Amino acid sequence: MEAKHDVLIVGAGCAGMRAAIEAFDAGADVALLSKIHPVRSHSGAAEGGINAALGNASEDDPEKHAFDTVKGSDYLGDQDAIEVLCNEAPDDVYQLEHWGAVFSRTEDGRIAQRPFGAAGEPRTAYAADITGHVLVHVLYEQVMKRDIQTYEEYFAWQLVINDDRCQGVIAWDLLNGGLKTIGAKTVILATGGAGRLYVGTTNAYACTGDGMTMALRAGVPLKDMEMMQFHPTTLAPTGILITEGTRGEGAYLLNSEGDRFLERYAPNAMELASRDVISRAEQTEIDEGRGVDGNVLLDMRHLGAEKIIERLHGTRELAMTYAGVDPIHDPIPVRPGAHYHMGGVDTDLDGRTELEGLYAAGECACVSVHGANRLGGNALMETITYGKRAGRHAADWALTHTTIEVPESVEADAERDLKILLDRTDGERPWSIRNELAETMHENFGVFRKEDQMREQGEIVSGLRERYEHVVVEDKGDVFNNDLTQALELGFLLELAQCMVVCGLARKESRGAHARPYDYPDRDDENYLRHTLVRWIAEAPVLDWKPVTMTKWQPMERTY
Amino acid sequence: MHVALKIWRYDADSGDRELRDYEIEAPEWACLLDVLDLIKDQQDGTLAYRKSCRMMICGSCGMRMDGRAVLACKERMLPIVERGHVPVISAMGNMPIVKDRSSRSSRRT
Repeated sequence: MEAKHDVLIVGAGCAGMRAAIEAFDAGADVALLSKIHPVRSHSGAAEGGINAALGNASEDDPEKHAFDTVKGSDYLGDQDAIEVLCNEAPDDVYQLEHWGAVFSRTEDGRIAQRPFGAAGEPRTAYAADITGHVLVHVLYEQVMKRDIQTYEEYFAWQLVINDDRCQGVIAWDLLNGGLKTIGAKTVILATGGAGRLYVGTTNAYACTGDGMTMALRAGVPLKDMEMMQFHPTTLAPTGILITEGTRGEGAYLLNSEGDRFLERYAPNAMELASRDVISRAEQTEIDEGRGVDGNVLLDMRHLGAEKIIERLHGTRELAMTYAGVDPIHDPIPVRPGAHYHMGGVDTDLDGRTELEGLYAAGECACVSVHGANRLGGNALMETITYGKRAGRHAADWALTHTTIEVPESVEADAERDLKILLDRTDGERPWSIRNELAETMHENFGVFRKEDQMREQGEIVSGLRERYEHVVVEDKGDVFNNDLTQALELGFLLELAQCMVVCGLARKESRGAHARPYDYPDRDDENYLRHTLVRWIAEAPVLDWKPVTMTKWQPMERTY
Repeated sequence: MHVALKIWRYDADSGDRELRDYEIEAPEWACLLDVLDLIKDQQDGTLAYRKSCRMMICGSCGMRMDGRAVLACKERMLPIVERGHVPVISAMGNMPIVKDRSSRSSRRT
């Protein structure tokens, strides 16, 4: 064993760093472990903002925030978790401000708030259109200030399970090579999403679902894995994100005929309807021949150059670099792209999983705050509030428990498995499997889902998993061998894809991101107002269900 | 489009450096990072470089092209190919090289 800590956090984005700060301040010996430098985490790519009922732009309160989130989730969100989020959000945002987050301001100096999709009030605090970037840097400053140990460029591969407890992590040291075991009384997974399952995704290359699959392999269930959000405004061909803040500031979505087509889908909220509604509307326009080369158009010309440069500067740069379009003068071609996993590791309100000592927070977790559809601006808020809660609980637990034991056999097994992979010299390299997975998931498990396509995808993924069993890592070296880590990432993704297909087939209704217009076009609260759960048993996903927690809101028809 | 690159390779074990030629077919929208990915996938799995967001915000893919510091995810290759230019790719300066395109980036020792 390399080292021991009270609390070890895997992943150093917003959720991971917020958890580390809280656990440290509670008196625990804390370490962060990340496969990339903390400020390169994908939280830093979040653009539009963070939702809290500060009431700076209108009369607002946490209950309105909670209702919008419940409705946005298509009633699949757990209402106790949503109330916790919305009640704690304002103080958590002010905490970030006091740490130095440079939020954009109102005329009188308060934190500015912009309108966002499916929000009843302008509630999204922001730092221009680089909110996540600002938060990641502020949190990293706080990590540095506390001198919290950070295992940078350590690739977490397996959880150490001993005595029915999670007692650490086995990781590949990217800079020096070799497996290293870090023991811990508690482990918090904060590894983010798995957008790399899709060819068109807003997610970074790092978003490969590592924490979700590590938990799954350790016997912990994942929840609502069919719920992958497609963001309505991403750039072809690779899916780079154009923020919802563009529409918050007043941009229009147009079809090839120049119509604001949302009139026909969400006549009240228009461009500020929820993401699932807008992505379906766009895909319908494109499928029915009213798209422009497989896109619709995001028009912000009427906002004027001054507003675009002041509030959407990063967006303009992205559009110019990757679409060759200056949004001051021309509309940006956009289409739906895989963006956010509402599903993830099943946790309680303190981030605890079913396995003692194992926690999860942020996108890799499913508390569930977002249910079947996340509202823009709620992801950053969840990383902060639930990162904090997981960090505090993990520290409290660790400080009242003393031992860490990692049997030698656990490390020896990991070494043996890795050697088998590295010693293989004859066979297929991983990249074509990776590309086929991402292309077929997009085709068969996208904005709209069909029974036969989902079944076909299940078979495709099984076939890819068989090929993966014989995959070859070409780089045999120790130093910066990301040929190896990319192969391990593909292993994580393949198992998640299989879980998603099983959950998607089981949910025979349309709810939020899971849209089945051809066979089950309506929401079915009688049978499916419940979470899917999936466990990994004998190398295959096994489905289960879990009730939704309701506090004060009964399901109603959901229109925007 | 047909892209040609020269890449400074660095072998961490022997300390040897070598300027190696690469050529590959890439889509016209490809940036330098996409081209490196295609080379790593199809020609040489030992090529090492960092990458993450691929949208100019995280900084992982900082490296040098013809001696100038660039983000590989930002540099579109089409105009370079159209000029018939063969750029030289190397690691960032100022920090010791770990391998190929990857300089040391952390506080770790």
